[in-house]
Amino acid sequence: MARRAPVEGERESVDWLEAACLLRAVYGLELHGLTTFQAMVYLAGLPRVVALTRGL
Amino acid sequence: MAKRVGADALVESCVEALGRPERVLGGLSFRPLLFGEQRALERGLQELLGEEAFLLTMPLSFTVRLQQAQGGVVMDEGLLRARALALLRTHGERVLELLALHTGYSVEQLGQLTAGELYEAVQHLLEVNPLAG
Repeated sequence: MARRAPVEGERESVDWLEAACLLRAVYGLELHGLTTFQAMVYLAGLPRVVALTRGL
Repeated sequence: MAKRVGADALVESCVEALGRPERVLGGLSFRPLLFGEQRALERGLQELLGEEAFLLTMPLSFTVRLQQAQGGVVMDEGLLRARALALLRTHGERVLELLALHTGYSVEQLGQLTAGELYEAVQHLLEVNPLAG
């Protein structure tokens, strides 16, 4: 099913299954071993991790 | 300069929140729960309190902004907090049983806390305002 784009003023909700996969793949961390805030901080850092791995 | 100090304080509070800080309320110590436990506690509160559980699981400032965006009657944070405390008092024993499941404290121990302290404990367990200090 196609994802609906968030309308103005609406934050796209986090897909936690996808988040759990990213945390495991990039950081080697398990979502169930983190608090929500810890997970959010790691996820927020992902764009920077991608940039660093590309040598940017 | 003031901006720099503000940024430093924010970084400091982020680092502190990342360490699952201990919060002592009424002589009992609470740390933020892990992800799955937080969702389980949220579900438990929703089953117990119905749709008004958001008063405990979401930041009150967010609820105020949401009301403003919807253009209806706006309750300020003080009123919303008072409503949340009233909910906790109404469902007292069952809320204590739920919290006992998630904290390791007994219902009797948790029963010594005031409604305000219980509210703060739930907020801390769920990291509703993780940077509030």
